[in-house]
Amino acid sequence: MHAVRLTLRLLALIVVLILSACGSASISEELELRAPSAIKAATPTVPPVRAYMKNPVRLVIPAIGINAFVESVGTQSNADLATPTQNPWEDVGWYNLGPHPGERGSAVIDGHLDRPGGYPAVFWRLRDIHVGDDVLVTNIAGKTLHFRVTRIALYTPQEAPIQDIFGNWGGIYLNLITCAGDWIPSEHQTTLRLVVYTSLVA
Amino acid sequence: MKIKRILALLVSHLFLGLGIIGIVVFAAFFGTQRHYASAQSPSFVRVIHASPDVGTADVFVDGGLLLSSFQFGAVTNYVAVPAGPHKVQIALVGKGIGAAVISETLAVSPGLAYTVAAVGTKATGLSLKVFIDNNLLSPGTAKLRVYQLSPDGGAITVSAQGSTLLSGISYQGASNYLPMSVGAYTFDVTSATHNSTLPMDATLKANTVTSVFTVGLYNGNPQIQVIASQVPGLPGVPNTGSDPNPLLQPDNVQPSAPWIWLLGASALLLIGSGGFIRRLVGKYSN
Repeated sequence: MHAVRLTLRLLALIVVLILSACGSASISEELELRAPSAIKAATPTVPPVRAYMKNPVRLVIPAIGINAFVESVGTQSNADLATPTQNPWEDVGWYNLGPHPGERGSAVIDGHLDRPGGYPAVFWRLRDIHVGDDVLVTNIAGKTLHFRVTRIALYTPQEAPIQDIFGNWGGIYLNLITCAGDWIPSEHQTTLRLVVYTSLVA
Repeated sequence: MKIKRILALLVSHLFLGLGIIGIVVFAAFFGTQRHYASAQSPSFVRVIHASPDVGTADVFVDGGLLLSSFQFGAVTNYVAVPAGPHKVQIALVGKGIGAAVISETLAVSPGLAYTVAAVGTKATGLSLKVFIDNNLLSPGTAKLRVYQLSPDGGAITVSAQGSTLLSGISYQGASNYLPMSVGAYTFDVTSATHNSTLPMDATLKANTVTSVFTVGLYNGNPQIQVIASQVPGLPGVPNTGSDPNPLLQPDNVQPSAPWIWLLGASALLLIGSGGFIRRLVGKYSN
């Protein structure tokens, strides 16, 4: 009898713990629902019509369920690539001082890993991508370009090979960047950057 | 009593099973979190032909033809090559690798950008001079670097609009990167050795890196000339992470990680409970 009573108490404790976990998930879902998700207009910074039409507006990575609006971003005052500003957690940012996706060189798109509190942002699942996965980019003109993942690498910010990421003119590339590793409170950044290198599929 | 024992055993097995499943999920979560395929970056090399005694040439890397009909004073774009040591050979055009007049092994590091200059004269010896480049952009402005590759030029000074920008750049040397305002310039390149000033017009665009090379001979042929090459500046990698424990941010109070820790703890508790119940059942059934 004593054993059964003890068992029931333990069972109750475990149920409470599991319910607590479910409660956390519910709060997360609410936050996700509250997050803005409206589609916004593009913010081109290149006035010529033909160049403007090449601006990317949507990034789709079927293998990891990413389907994001692409903002146009430049650099921050410290020379680092800027991040999306209109909808920082759900949009991605195309580096508008580099080539357009589909042009010779290294086009670059970045996106947040997470939002404050550690809640997932647009590139949360970029870590799950594999070599060979498809990456699709659609531009303003409606043309969809098909890239394929060729390399995946992790770097510290100081050791990131910027010439490889932003300045490889030997082909038609699209490289994706987000944060990885652990958060360093004193530096207000994570320890690593995840770079996914892709190449245009003919 | 027998039914209670069976019930208790069932509960204990259920706890053990759920616990093991929890541990598997917990391990899978962290096991997949930071496993990435990785690949080494290539190196990036551009080549300038600055050897007055070598005519139009072919450039071979590791026995293969990299550049054909490479003319004196020409500067290539950056070319990706695998990091590591490479045998670089330069031969007069069409003469073949066996007639190489320069043959050196250069080691290049992953991700770095280099300028490799074919320099020297037959009298002083032909060789390759390697510079490590830094094409990190300066936001909204431009950067300038000057390479002195004229064998008889001595140290040079570069000025613009009457102001000295760079001085004391000796043969086979390069200046530091100089931040510059965007705009059109006439750069005056002065050799004190020859008391000679050469003007060169260049427009420095925003977010670019301009390289100025002096090549050729003040006394002889090919004659001294000043060459400019401009490449896009490159940004640093972005900061795309967020503080997992922000203070005073009510809209973002819920971290995503705790549920997995709770799952792990629950799994351990389930396993422990299962074992404990089995022990109790064993004890009370005896």
